[in-house]
Amino acid sequence: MELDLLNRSYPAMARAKLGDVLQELIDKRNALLEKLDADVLVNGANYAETLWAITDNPHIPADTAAPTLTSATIGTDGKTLTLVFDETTLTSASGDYEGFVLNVDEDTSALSAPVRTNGTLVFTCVEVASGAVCTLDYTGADIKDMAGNALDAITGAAVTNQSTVE
Amino acid sequence: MSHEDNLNRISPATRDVGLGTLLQELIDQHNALLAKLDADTGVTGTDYASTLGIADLEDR
Repeated sequence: MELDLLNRSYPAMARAKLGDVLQELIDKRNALLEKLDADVLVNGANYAETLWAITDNPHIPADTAAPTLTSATIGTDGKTLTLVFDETTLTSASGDYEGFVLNVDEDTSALSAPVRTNGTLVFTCVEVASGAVCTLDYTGADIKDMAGNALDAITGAAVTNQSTVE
Repeated sequence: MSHEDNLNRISPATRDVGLGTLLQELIDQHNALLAKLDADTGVTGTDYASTLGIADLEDR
């Protein structure tokens, strides 16, 4: 939709900058949805996913890039694994964000039911001791970004271990 | 004449729809929603209106 045409169609539209008004309404409404998703005290986390305006706007470049993991960290308590991705909104068809496996030295531990905030998944994991070598695997096609691009499989991704547990 | 009235009078169709009035109402309701969110103590953010507010048609 070329909203700028509305700025030039009629003198009245030009004076009111009709195309700009409509574009601002769309942009700020979408920004509001993202802000609501990011607000940790708002219960819903799918405002943008379900209420995004003008999804077929050809002037918005299509997102064809899969989301990627940017960091994985074991917290100082040794029981918290935080995964950060490069996209702020991830969805899971099952709602469970399953498929992650934490490897701690020679042991493996499946992870499920994380707490999700913008682009971040926080799992409760088996207690990891300080100095343990950790890696992360992911298999599945359940987790996707807003454009429907699935998270690719992850094998042996480095996990930063900040545990202080002896 | 205001931008709202001008938009309403562009054509019979915009008059019947009340295009300018409709747009201003959308803006008003959007801004009212932001103010309501700012006032809602169950929501973390208090800068909804200041960051996402939309100027009235008349201010353009």
